Amino acid sequence: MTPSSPSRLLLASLALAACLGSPLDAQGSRGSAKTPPVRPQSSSGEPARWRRIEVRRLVTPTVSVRFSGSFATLRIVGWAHDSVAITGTVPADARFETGWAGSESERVGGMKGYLEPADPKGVTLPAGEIEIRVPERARVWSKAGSASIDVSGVRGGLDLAIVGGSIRVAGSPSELRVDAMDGTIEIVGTPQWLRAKSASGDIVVRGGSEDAAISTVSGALRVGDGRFERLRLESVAGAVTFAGELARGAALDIDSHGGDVELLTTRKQGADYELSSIAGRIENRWGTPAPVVGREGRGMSLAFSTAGGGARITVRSFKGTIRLGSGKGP
Amino acid sequence: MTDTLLRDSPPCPDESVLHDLADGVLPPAADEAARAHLARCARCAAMHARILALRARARALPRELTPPAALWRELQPRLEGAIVPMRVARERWWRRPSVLAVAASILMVFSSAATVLVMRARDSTSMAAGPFASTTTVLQPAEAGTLAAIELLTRELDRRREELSPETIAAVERSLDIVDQALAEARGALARDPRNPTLSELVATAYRHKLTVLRRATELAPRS
Repeated sequence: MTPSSPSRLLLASLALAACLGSPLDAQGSRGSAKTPPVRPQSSSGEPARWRRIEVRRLVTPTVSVRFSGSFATLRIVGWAHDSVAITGTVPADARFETGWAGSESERVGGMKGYLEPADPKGVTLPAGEIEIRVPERARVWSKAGSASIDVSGVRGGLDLAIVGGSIRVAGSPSELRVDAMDGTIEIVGTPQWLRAKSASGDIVVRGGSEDAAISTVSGALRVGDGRFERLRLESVAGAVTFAGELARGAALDIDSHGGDVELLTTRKQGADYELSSIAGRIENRWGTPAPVVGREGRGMSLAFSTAGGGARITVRSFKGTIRLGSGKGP
Repeated sequence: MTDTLLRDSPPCPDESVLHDLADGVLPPAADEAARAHLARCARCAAMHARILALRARARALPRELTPPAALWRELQPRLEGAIVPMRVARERWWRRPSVLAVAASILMVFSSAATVLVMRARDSTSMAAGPFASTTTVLQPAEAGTLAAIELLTRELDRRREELSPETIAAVERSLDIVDQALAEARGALARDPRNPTLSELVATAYRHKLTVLRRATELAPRS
Protein backbone atom coordinates (compact mmCIF):
# COMPACT_ATOMS: atom_id res chain seq x y z
CA MET A 1 0.00 0.00 0.00
CA THR A 2 2.85 2.34 0.60
CA PRO A 3 4.87 3.66 -2.33
CA SER A 4 7.37 1.08 -3.47
CA SER A 5 10.69 1.39 -5.14
CA PRO A 6 11.01 0.07 -8.73
CA SER A 7 13.19 -2.77 -7.49
CA ARG A 8 10.57 -3.72 -4.92
CA LEU A 9 7.88 -3.55 -7.55
CA LEU A 10 9.93 -5.76 -9.78
CA LEU A 11 10.54 -8.25 -6.98
CA ALA A 12 6.86 -8.20 -6.09
CA SER A 13 5.93 -8.80 -9.73
CA LEU A 14 8.36 -11.72 -9.93
CA ALA A 15 6.99 -13.16 -6.71
CA LEU A 16 3.44 -12.86 -7.96
CA ALA A 17 4.35 -14.34 -11.30
CA ALA A 18 5.98 -17.23 -9.49
CA CYS A 19 2.92 -17.46 -7.31
CA LEU A 20 0.64 -17.74 -10.32
CA GLY A 21 2.94 -20.28 -11.84
CA SER A 22 2.60 -22.47 -8.77
CA PRO A 23 -0.32 -24.83 -8.12
CA LEU A 24 -3.53 -22.87 -8.38
CA ASP A 25 -6.91 -22.95 -6.81
CA ALA A 26 -9.57 -22.65 -9.40
CA GLN A 27 -13.28 -23.14 -9.45
CA GLY A 28 -13.47 -24.23 -5.87
CA SER A 29 -10.68 -26.78 -5.84
CA ARG A 30 -8.48 -26.39 -2.81
CA GLY A 31 -4.84 -26.10 -3.74
CA SER A 32 -5.23 -28.28 -6.77
CA ALA A 33 -2.93 -28.17 -9.75
CA LYS A 34 -3.78 -25.63 -12.44
CA THR A 35 -6.99 -26.59 -14.16
CA PRO A 36 -8.76 -24.97 -17.07
CA PRO A 37 -11.91 -23.02 -16.30
CA VAL A 38 -14.92 -25.27 -15.93
CA ARG A 39 -17.79 -24.85 -18.36
CA PRO A 40 -20.66 -26.35 -16.39
CA GLN A 41 -23.52 -27.98 -18.22
CA SER A 42 -27.12 -27.37 -17.38
CA SER A 43 -29.53 -30.28 -17.04
CA SER A 44 -30.56 -29.84 -20.67
CA GLY A 45 -26.97 -30.16 -21.78
CA GLU A 46 -26.77 -26.52 -22.89
CA PRO A 47 -23.91 -24.42 -21.51
CA ALA A 48 -24.99 -22.64 -18.35
CA ARG A 49 -24.77 -18.86 -18.44
CA TRP A 50 -23.51 -18.48 -14.92
CA ARG A 51 -21.56 -20.60 -12.51
CA ARG A 52 -20.83 -20.41 -8.85
CA ILE A 53 -17.32 -20.13 -7.51
CA GLU A 54 -16.01 -20.99 -4.08
CA VAL A 55 -12.41 -20.98 -2.88
CA ARG A 56 -11.28 -21.19 0.75
CA ARG A 57 -7.82 -21.16 2.17
CA LEU A 58 -6.01 -20.73 5.50
CA VAL A 59 -3.93 -17.57 5.53
CA THR A 60 -1.89 -15.42 7.89
CA PRO A 61 -3.74 -12.67 9.80
CA THR A 62 -2.07 -9.99 7.72
CA VAL A 63 -2.36 -11.71 4.35
CA SER A 64 -1.98 -9.59 1.21
CA VAL A 65 -4.87 -10.09 -1.18
CA ARG A 66 -4.90 -8.80 -4.75
CA PHE A 67 -7.96 -9.16 -6.91
CA SER A 68 -8.60 -7.57 -10.28
CA GLY A 69 -10.67 -8.08 -13.37
CA SER A 70 -13.93 -7.29 -15.04
CA PHE A 71 -16.34 -8.10 -12.23
CA ALA A 72 -19.45 -5.99 -11.78
CA THR A 73 -19.70 -6.21 -8.02
CA LEU A 74 -17.08 -6.98 -5.41
CA ARG A 75 -17.80 -7.21 -1.73
CA ILE A 76 -14.82 -7.38 0.62
CA VAL A 77 -15.62 -8.30 4.19
CA GLY A 78 -13.17 -8.43 7.08
CA TRP A 79 -13.92 -11.28 9.45
CA ALA A 80 -12.43 -12.73 12.62
CA HIS A 81 -10.93 -15.81 10.96
CA ASP A 82 -7.48 -16.42 9.56
CA SER A 83 -8.78 -17.58 6.23
CA VAL A 84 -9.82 -16.19 2.90
CA ALA A 85 -13.11 -17.26 1.36
CA ILE A 86 -14.02 -16.25 -2.17
CA THR A 87 -17.55 -16.96 -3.27
CA GLY A 88 -19.81 -15.64 -5.97
CA THR A 89 -21.41 -16.01 -9.34
CA VAL A 90 -19.52 -15.34 -12.55
CA PRO A 91 -20.22 -15.77 -16.25
CA ALA A 92 -19.85 -19.42 -17.14
CA ASP A 93 -17.23 -18.83 -19.77
CA ALA A 94 -15.20 -16.27 -17.78
CA ARG A 95 -11.76 -17.19 -16.58
CA PHE A 96 -11.52 -17.05 -12.81
CA GLU A 97 -8.27 -18.01 -11.15
CA THR A 98 -6.47 -17.62 -7.89
CA GLY A 99 -2.83 -18.10 -7.01
CA TRP A 100 -1.49 -18.54 -3.51
CA ALA A 101 1.98 -17.75 -2.19
CA GLY A 102 2.59 -21.12 -0.57
CA SER A 103 1.53 -24.72 -0.41
CA GLU A 104 -1.88 -25.90 0.70
CA SER A 105 -0.54 -27.25 3.97
CA GLU A 106 0.62 -23.89 5.24
CA ARG A 107 -0.98 -20.57 6.06
CA VAL A 108 -0.09 -18.35 3.15
CA GLY A 109 0.77 -14.68 3.35
CA GLY A 110 -0.37 -13.66 -0.11
CA MET A 111 -2.85 -14.42 -2.84
CA LYS A 112 -3.75 -13.05 -6.21
CA GLY A 113 -6.90 -13.60 -8.19
CA TYR A 114 -8.61 -12.32 -11.26
CA LEU A 115 -11.75 -12.62 -13.32
CA GLU A 116 -11.32 -12.27 -17.04
CA PRO A 117 -13.93 -12.41 -19.77
CA ALA A 118 -13.85 -15.33 -22.20
CA ASP A 119 -12.79 -13.10 -25.06
CA PRO A 120 -10.26 -10.70 -23.58
CA LYS A 121 -9.86 -8.84 -26.88
CA GLY A 122 -13.53 -8.17 -27.34
CA VAL A 123 -15.64 -5.56 -25.66
CA THR A 124 -17.13 -7.24 -22.63
CA LEU A 125 -19.33 -5.64 -20.06
CA PRO A 126 -18.26 -6.27 -16.48
CA ALA A 127 -20.22 -9.14 -15.00
CA GLY A 128 -20.24 -11.31 -11.95
CA GLU A 129 -20.74 -10.82 -8.25
CA ILE A 130 -17.89 -11.80 -5.97
CA GLU A 131 -17.49 -11.72 -2.23
CA ILE A 132 -14.09 -12.04 -0.61
CA ARG A 133 -13.86 -12.58 3.12
CA VAL A 134 -10.46 -11.75 4.54
CA PRO A 135 -8.91 -11.56 8.02
CA GLU A 136 -9.63 -8.17 9.57
CA ARG A 137 -5.99 -7.15 9.44
CA ALA A 138 -5.50 -8.18 5.81
CA ARG A 139 -4.16 -5.83 3.18
CA VAL A 140 -6.36 -5.83 0.11
CA TRP A 141 -5.66 -4.44 -3.34
CA SER A 142 -8.29 -4.40 -6.04
CA LYS A 143 -8.45 -2.81 -9.44
CA ALA A 144 -11.36 -2.88 -11.87
CA GLY A 145 -12.88 -1.05 -14.80
CA SER A 146 -16.48 -0.17 -14.15
CA ALA A 147 -17.50 -1.84 -10.93
CA SER A 148 -19.14 -1.48 -7.59
CA ILE A 149 -16.79 -2.25 -4.72
CA ASP A 150 -18.13 -2.43 -1.20
CA VAL A 151 -15.81 -2.98 1.75
CA SER A 152 -16.60 -3.47 5.41
CA GLY A 153 -14.75 -4.53 8.52
CA VAL A 154 -11.19 -4.43 7.19
CA ARG A 155 -8.72 -2.93 9.66
CA GLY A 156 -5.54 -3.54 7.66
CA GLY A 157 -4.83 -1.75 4.40
CA LEU A 158 -6.98 -1.12 1.36
CA ASP A 159 -5.94 0.03 -2.09
CA LEU A 160 -8.90 0.24 -4.44
CA ALA A 161 -9.14 1.64 -7.95
CA ILE A 162 -11.94 1.78 -10.49
CA VAL A 163 -12.71 3.74 -13.62
CA GLY A 164 -16.48 4.03 -13.24
CA GLY A 165 -19.05 2.77 -10.78
CA SER A 166 -18.66 3.23 -7.07
CA ILE A 167 -16.49 2.44 -4.10
CA ARG A 168 -17.90 2.33 -0.60
CA VAL A 169 -15.73 1.64 2.42
CA ALA A 170 -17.20 1.22 5.90
CA GLY A 171 -14.84 0.75 8.80
CA SER A 172 -11.50 1.97 9.99
CA PRO A 173 -8.61 0.58 7.98
CA SER A 174 -5.15 1.70 9.02
CA GLU A 175 -4.40 2.67 5.41
CA LEU A 176 -6.93 3.49 2.74
CA ARG A 177 -6.13 4.52 -0.80
CA VAL A 178 -9.08 4.94 -3.14
CA ASP A 179 -8.99 6.05 -6.74
CA ALA A 180 -12.01 6.45 -9.00
CA MET A 181 -11.66 8.09 -12.37
CA ASP A 182 -15.34 8.60 -13.11
CA GLY A 183 -16.89 6.81 -10.16
CA THR A 184 -18.14 7.88 -6.78
CA ILE A 185 -16.40 7.26 -3.49
CA GLU A 186 -18.04 7.00 -0.09
CA ILE A 187 -16.08 6.40 3.09
CA VAL A 188 -17.79 5.86 6.41
CA GLY A 189 -15.37 5.39 9.29
CA THR A 190 -12.05 6.60 10.58
CA PRO A 191 -9.18 5.42 8.41
CA GLN A 192 -5.93 6.34 10.08
CA TRP A 193 -4.30 7.28 6.75
CA LEU A 194 -6.47 8.19 3.81
CA ARG A 195 -5.85 9.15 0.22
CA ALA A 196 -8.87 9.45 -2.07
CA LYS A 197 -8.88 10.77 -5.62
CA SER A 198 -11.37 11.10 -8.41
CA ALA A 199 -11.53 12.94 -11.70
CA SER A 200 -15.24 13.57 -12.06
CA GLY A 201 -16.78 11.44 -9.34
CA ASP A 202 -18.08 12.76 -6.04
CA ILE A 203 -16.28 11.88 -2.82
CA VAL A 204 -18.07 11.73 0.53
CA VAL A 205 -16.27 11.05 3.80
CA ARG A 206 -18.30 10.55 6.97
CA GLY A 207 -15.77 10.09 9.72
CA GLY A 208 -12.32 11.29 10.66
CA SER A 209 -8.67 10.59 10.05
CA GLU A 210 -5.25 11.38 11.40
CA ASP A 211 -3.86 12.08 7.95
CA ALA A 212 -6.07 12.53 4.94
CA ALA A 213 -5.71 14.00 1.46
CA ILE A 214 -8.73 14.03 -0.83
CA SER A 215 -8.83 15.48 -4.31
CA THR A 216 -11.06 15.70 -7.34
CA VAL A 217 -11.11 17.57 -10.63
CA SER A 218 -14.81 18.21 -11.07
CA GLY A 219 -16.58 16.03 -8.54
CA ALA A 220 -17.98 17.33 -5.27
CA LEU A 221 -16.07 16.77 -2.02
CA ARG A 222 -18.09 16.46 1.17
CA VAL A 223 -16.18 15.74 4.34
CA GLY A 224 -17.47 15.75 7.87
CA ASP A 225 -18.88 14.00 10.90
CA GLY A 226 -15.47 13.22 12.32
CA ARG A 227 -12.26 14.53 13.80
CA PHE A 228 -9.23 15.26 11.64
CA GLU A 229 -5.59 16.03 12.43
CA ARG A 230 -4.08 16.68 9.01
CA LEU A 231 -6.48 17.13 6.13
CA ARG A 232 -5.96 18.41 2.61
CA LEU A 233 -8.86 18.91 0.19
CA GLU A 234 -8.23 19.85 -3.42
CA SER A 235 -10.64 20.52 -6.25
CA VAL A 236 -10.51 22.25 -9.59
CA ALA A 237 -14.16 22.75 -10.44
CA GLY A 238 -16.09 20.76 -7.86
CA ALA A 239 -17.69 22.15 -4.72
CA VAL A 240 -15.95 21.45 -1.43
CA THR A 241 -17.75 21.12 1.89
CA PHE A 242 -15.99 20.58 5.18
CA ALA A 243 -18.13 20.06 8.24
CA GLY A 244 -15.85 18.13 10.55
CA GLU A 245 -13.99 18.76 13.75
CA LEU A 246 -10.31 19.54 13.99
CA ALA A 247 -7.96 18.32 16.69
CA ARG A 248 -5.97 20.91 18.59
CA GLY A 249 -2.93 21.74 16.48
CA ALA A 250 -4.56 20.21 13.41
CA ALA A 251 -4.02 21.50 9.89
CA LEU A 252 -6.74 21.85 7.26
CA ASP A 253 -5.78 23.02 3.77
CA ILE A 254 -8.38 23.52 1.07
CA ASP A 255 -7.44 24.49 -2.48
CA SER A 256 -10.13 25.09 -5.07
CA HIS A 257 -9.97 26.78 -8.42
CA GLY A 258 -13.54 27.40 -9.46
CA GLY A 259 -15.69 25.36 -7.11
CA ASP A 260 -17.35 26.94 -4.09
CA VAL A 261 -15.98 26.10 -0.66
CA GLU A 262 -18.30 25.64 2.29
CA LEU A 263 -16.52 25.69 5.64
CA LEU A 264 -18.94 24.62 8.34
CA THR A 265 -17.19 24.86 11.67
CA THR A 266 -18.15 26.41 14.99
CA ARG A 267 -16.81 29.37 16.89
CA LYS A 268 -15.97 26.93 19.70
CA GLN A 269 -13.41 25.33 17.44
CA GLY A 270 -10.05 26.82 18.42
CA ALA A 271 -8.57 27.72 15.06
CA ASP A 272 -6.58 30.26 13.09
CA TYR A 273 -8.36 30.96 9.82
CA GLU A 274 -6.70 32.24 6.67
CA LEU A 275 -9.06 32.44 3.73
CA SER A 276 -8.32 34.01 0.36
CA SER A 277 -10.01 34.11 -3.01
CA ILE A 278 -8.28 35.68 -6.00
CA ALA A 279 -11.39 36.62 -7.95
CA GLY A 280 -14.23 35.19 -5.89
CA ARG A 281 -16.12 36.20 -2.78
CA ILE A 282 -15.86 35.31 0.88
CA GLU A 283 -19.07 35.17 2.89
CA ASN A 284 -18.74 35.09 6.65
CA ARG A 285 -22.13 33.99 7.96
CA TRP A 286 -20.95 34.63 11.49
CA GLY A 287 -21.02 38.31 10.63
CA THR A 288 -17.65 39.37 11.99
CA PRO A 289 -14.96 39.86 11.10
CA ALA A 290 -15.73 41.04 7.61
CA PRO A 291 -13.54 39.95 4.72
CA VAL A 292 -11.16 42.45 3.18
CA VAL A 293 -11.69 43.28 -0.47
CA GLY A 294 -8.58 42.85 -2.58
CA ARG A 295 -6.70 45.42 -4.58
CA GLU A 296 -8.61 46.84 -7.54
CA GLY A 297 -11.80 45.62 -5.90
CA ARG A 298 -11.19 42.06 -6.94
CA GLY A 299 -10.97 39.04 -4.68
CA MET A 300 -11.20 38.87 -0.90
CA SER A 301 -9.24 37.68 2.10
CA LEU A 302 -10.07 36.99 5.70
CA ALA A 303 -7.82 36.08 8.62
CA PHE A 304 -8.88 35.67 12.23
CA SER A 305 -8.81 33.29 15.18
CA THR A 306 -11.49 31.63 17.25
CA ALA A 307 -11.37 30.29 20.81
CA GLY A 308 -7.74 31.24 21.27
CA GLY A 309 -6.57 29.57 18.07
CA GLY A 310 -5.02 26.16 17.75
CA ALA A 311 -5.87 24.42 14.52
CA ARG A 312 -4.68 26.03 11.30
CA ILE A 313 -7.30 26.41 8.56
CA THR A 314 -6.18 27.67 5.17
CA VAL A 315 -8.55 28.03 2.24
CA ARG A 316 -7.37 29.17 -1.18
CA SER A 317 -9.71 29.73 -4.08
CA PHE A 318 -9.22 31.25 -7.49
CA LYS A 319 -12.74 32.27 -8.41
CA GLY A 320 -15.07 30.20 -6.26
CA THR A 321 -17.00 31.58 -3.33
CA ILE A 322 -15.82 30.69 0.17
CA ARG A 323 -18.63 30.45 2.71
CA LEU A 324 -17.89 30.27 6.39
CA GLY A 325 -20.53 29.33 8.89
CA SER A 326 -21.93 26.75 11.23
CA GLY A 327 -23.72 23.67 10.05
CA LYS A 328 -24.08 19.95 10.04
CA GLY A 329 -21.97 17.35 8.29
CA PRO A 330 -22.47 16.09 4.78
CA MET B 1 17.56 1.57 53.67
CA THR B 2 18.06 2.32 49.99
CA ASP B 3 18.72 -1.35 49.31
CA THR B 4 15.48 -2.23 51.07
CA LEU B 5 13.57 0.31 48.98
CA LEU B 6 15.09 -0.99 45.76
CA ARG B 7 14.32 -4.56 46.69
CA ASP B 8 10.72 -3.69 47.56
CA SER B 9 10.08 -1.63 44.41
CA PRO B 10 8.83 -3.43 41.32
CA PRO B 11 11.37 -3.60 38.49
CA CYS B 12 11.47 -0.83 35.91
CA PRO B 13 9.00 -1.42 33.10
CA ASP B 14 10.17 -2.21 29.62
CA GLU B 15 10.75 0.80 27.37
CA SER B 16 7.86 -0.30 25.16
CA VAL B 17 5.55 0.13 28.16
CA LEU B 18 6.68 3.72 28.49
CA HIS B 19 5.96 4.27 24.78
CA ASP B 20 2.51 2.73 25.21
CA LEU B 21 1.94 4.96 28.22
CA ALA B 22 2.87 8.02 26.17
CA ASP B 23 0.55 6.85 23.40
CA GLY B 24 -2.26 6.32 25.91
CA VAL B 25 -2.89 2.75 24.82
CA LEU B 26 -2.17 0.93 28.09
CA PRO B 27 -5.09 -0.76 29.85
CA PRO B 28 -6.25 1.24 32.90
CA ALA B 29 -4.58 -0.99 35.50
CA ALA B 30 -1.26 -1.05 33.64
CA ASP B 31 -1.51 2.69 33.05
CA GLU B 32 -1.99 3.30 36.78
CA ALA B 33 0.88 1.00 37.72
CA ALA B 34 3.21 2.64 35.19
CA ARG B 35 2.36 6.12 36.45
CA ALA B 36 2.91 5.03 40.03
CA HIS B 37 6.33 3.73 39.02
CA LEU B 38 7.19 7.01 37.30
CA ALA B 39 6.44 8.84 40.52
CA ARG B 40 9.12 6.77 42.24
CA CYS B 41 11.72 6.27 39.53
CA ALA B 42 13.53 9.32 38.21
CA ARG B 43 15.22 7.38 35.41
CA CYS B 44 11.92 6.10 33.96
CA ALA B 45 10.27 9.49 34.49
CA ALA B 46 13.06 11.12 32.48
CA MET B 47 12.69 8.51 29.72
CA HIS B 48 8.93 9.06 29.65
CA ALA B 49 9.46 12.82 29.41
CA ARG B 50 11.86 12.29 26.48
CA ILE B 51 9.28 10.13 24.68
CA LEU B 52 6.61 12.80 25.16
CA ALA B 53 8.97 15.47 23.86
CA LEU B 54 9.82 13.31 20.84
CA ARG B 55 6.14 12.84 20.08
CA ALA B 56 5.57 16.58 20.28
CA ARG B 57 8.49 17.25 17.93
CA ALA B 58 7.29 14.58 15.50
CA ARG B 59 3.82 16.10 15.41
CA ALA B 60 5.29 19.49 14.65
CA LEU B 61 7.09 18.20 11.55
CA PRO B 62 5.78 19.46 8.20
CA ARG B 63 3.36 17.22 6.31
CA GLU B 64 5.50 17.15 3.21
CA LEU B 65 9.18 17.66 2.71
CA THR B 66 10.39 19.63 -0.25
CA PRO B 67 13.93 19.14 -1.51
CA PRO B 68 16.22 22.15 -1.29
CA ALA B 69 16.63 24.15 -4.48
CA ALA B 70 20.25 23.08 -4.75
CA LEU B 71 19.22 19.43 -4.69
CA TRP B 72 16.69 20.03 -7.44
CA ARG B 73 19.35 21.69 -9.60
CA GLU B 74 21.43 18.53 -9.23
CA LEU B 75 18.55 16.18 -9.87
CA GLN B 76 17.01 17.89 -12.85
CA PRO B 77 19.73 17.10 -15.41
CA ARG B 78 19.80 13.48 -14.24
CA LEU B 79 16.06 13.12 -14.52
CA GLU B 80 15.98 14.77 -17.94
CA GLY B 81 18.87 12.59 -19.01
CA ALA B 82 16.94 9.55 -17.90
CA ILE B 83 13.93 10.56 -19.94
CA VAL B 84 15.69 11.03 -23.26
CA PRO B 85 16.13 7.36 -24.16
CA MET B 86 12.57 6.63 -23.12
CA ARG B 87 11.32 9.08 -25.72
CA VAL B 88 13.29 7.71 -28.63
CA ALA B 89 13.44 3.97 -28.05
CA ARG B 90 10.96 1.47 -29.37
CA GLU B 91 8.91 -0.92 -27.26
CA ARG B 92 11.00 -2.09 -24.36
CA TRP B 93 10.26 -3.39 -20.88
CA TRP B 94 10.62 0.07 -19.45
CA ARG B 95 7.81 1.31 -21.69
CA ARG B 96 5.40 -0.73 -19.62
CA PRO B 97 2.83 1.47 -17.90
CA SER B 98 3.97 0.41 -14.44
CA VAL B 99 7.56 1.37 -15.12
CA LEU B 100 6.52 4.61 -16.78
CA ALA B 101 4.29 5.34 -13.84
CA VAL B 102 7.22 4.91 -11.48
CA ALA B 103 9.37 7.20 -13.62
CA ALA B 104 6.61 9.75 -13.82
CA SER B 105 6.04 9.50 -10.09
CA ILE B 106 9.67 10.30 -9.44
CA LEU B 107 9.40 13.27 -11.74
CA MET B 108 6.15 14.30 -10.12
CA VAL B 109 7.56 14.21 -6.62
CA PHE B 110 10.58 16.30 -7.41
CA SER B 111 9.02 18.56 -9.99
CA SER B 112 5.91 19.46 -8.00
CA ALA B 113 7.97 19.90 -4.86
CA ALA B 114 10.36 22.09 -6.76
CA THR B 115 7.47 23.99 -8.30
CA VAL B 116 6.23 24.91 -4.87
CA LEU B 117 9.72 25.64 -3.69
CA VAL B 118 10.59 27.92 -6.57
CA MET B 119 7.23 29.62 -6.42
CA ARG B 120 7.63 30.23 -2.72
CA ALA B 121 11.07 31.64 -3.36
CA ARG B 122 9.62 33.77 -6.12
CA ASP B 123 9.11 36.76 -3.82
CA SER B 124 12.76 37.59 -3.42
CA THR B 125 13.56 36.84 -7.06
CA SER B 126 10.78 38.94 -8.49
CA MET B 127 11.44 41.77 -6.06
CA ALA B 128 15.06 41.83 -7.10
CA ALA B 129 14.06 41.88 -10.72
CA GLY B 130 11.48 44.59 -10.21
CA PRO B 131 7.70 44.61 -10.37
CA PHE B 132 7.59 43.78 -14.07
CA ALA B 133 9.71 40.64 -13.84
CA SER B 134 8.36 37.83 -15.95
CA THR B 135 7.03 34.89 -13.95
CA THR B 136 7.86 32.69 -16.90
CA THR B 137 11.51 33.22 -16.13
CA VAL B 138 10.97 32.56 -12.44
CA LEU B 139 8.97 29.37 -12.97
CA GLN B 140 10.99 27.97 -15.81
CA PRO B 141 13.42 25.75 -13.85
CA ALA B 142 10.69 24.05 -11.86
CA GLU B 143 8.19 23.87 -14.67
CA ALA B 144 10.68 22.12 -16.88
CA GLY B 145 10.56 19.05 -14.67
CA THR B 146 6.79 19.15 -14.36
CA LEU B 147 6.30 19.66 -18.08
CA ALA B 148 8.70 16.79 -18.81
CA ALA B 149 6.56 14.50 -16.67
CA ILE B 150 3.39 15.77 -18.36
CA GLU B 151 4.88 15.22 -21.80
CA LEU B 152 6.00 11.72 -20.90
CA LEU B 153 2.59 10.75 -19.62
CA THR B 154 0.74 12.44 -22.49
CA ARG B 155 2.75 10.44 -25.01
CA GLU B 156 2.04 7.25 -23.15
CA LEU B 157 -1.66 8.08 -23.04
CA ASP B 158 -1.67 8.76 -26.79
CA ARG B 159 0.07 5.47 -27.40
CA ARG B 160 -2.54 3.62 -25.37
CA ARG B 161 -5.53 5.53 -26.70
CA GLU B 162 -6.75 2.61 -28.81
CA GLU B 163 -6.59 0.24 -25.85
CA LEU B 164 -8.98 2.25 -23.71
CA SER B 165 -12.71 2.57 -24.15
CA PRO B 166 -14.03 5.73 -25.84
CA GLU B 167 -15.96 6.57 -22.66
CA THR B 168 -12.80 6.45 -20.58
CA ILE B 169 -10.85 8.56 -23.06
CA ALA B 170 -13.70 11.07 -23.10
CA ALA B 171 -13.73 11.22 -19.29
CA VAL B 172 -9.98 11.74 -19.17
CA GLU B 173 -10.09 14.46 -21.80
CA ARG B 174 -12.93 16.25 -20.03
CA SER B 175 -10.90 16.33 -16.84
CA LEU B 176 -7.75 17.45 -18.62
CA ASP B 177 -9.67 20.27 -20.32
CA ILE B 178 -10.96 21.47 -16.97
CA VAL B 179 -7.48 21.37 -15.45
CA ASP B 180 -5.86 23.06 -18.46
CA GLN B 181 -8.39 25.87 -18.31
CA ALA B 182 -7.76 26.35 -14.59
CA LEU B 183 -4.03 26.22 -15.15
CA ALA B 184 -4.21 28.86 -17.87
CA GLU B 185 -6.28 31.15 -15.68
CA ALA B 186 -4.02 30.75 -12.66
CA ARG B 187 -0.83 31.12 -14.72
CA GLY B 188 -2.19 34.26 -16.36
CA ALA B 189 -3.09 35.74 -13.01
CA LEU B 190 0.31 34.85 -11.59
CA ALA B 191 1.98 36.59 -14.52
CA ARG B 192 0.07 39.75 -13.58
CA ASP B 193 0.64 39.34 -9.84
CA PRO B 194 3.86 37.38 -9.40
CA ARG B 195 4.10 38.03 -5.67
CA ASN B 196 0.79 36.47 -4.80
CA PRO B 197 1.42 33.35 -2.67
CA THR B 198 -2.15 32.07 -3.12
CA LEU B 199 -1.70 32.04 -6.88
CA SER B 200 1.59 30.20 -6.54
CA GLU B 201 -0.10 27.47 -4.53
CA LEU B 202 -3.05 27.28 -6.92
CA VAL B 203 -0.77 26.88 -9.94
CA ALA B 204 1.15 24.13 -8.14
CA THR B 205 -2.13 22.43 -7.23
CA ALA B 206 -3.36 22.59 -10.82
CA TYR B 207 -0.16 20.96 -12.05
CA ARG B 208 -0.60 18.27 -9.43
CA HIS B 209 -4.14 17.60 -10.66
CA LYS B 210 -2.97 17.32 -14.25
CA LEU B 211 -0.20 14.89 -13.38
CA THR B 212 -2.57 12.82 -11.27
CA VAL B 213 -5.15 12.48 -14.04
CA LEU B 214 -2.52 11.62 -16.63
CA ARG B 215 -0.77 9.11 -14.43
CA ARG B 216 -4.03 7.44 -13.48
CA ALA B 217 -5.08 7.24 -17.14
CA THR B 218 -1.83 5.62 -18.20
CA GLU B 219 -2.13 3.02 -15.45
CA LEU B 220 -5.54 1.81 -16.58
CA ALA B 221 -5.85 -1.75 -17.74
CA PRO B 222 -6.63 -2.35 -21.42
CA ARG B 223 -10.35 -2.15 -22.26
CA SER B 224 -11.02 -0.02 -19.19
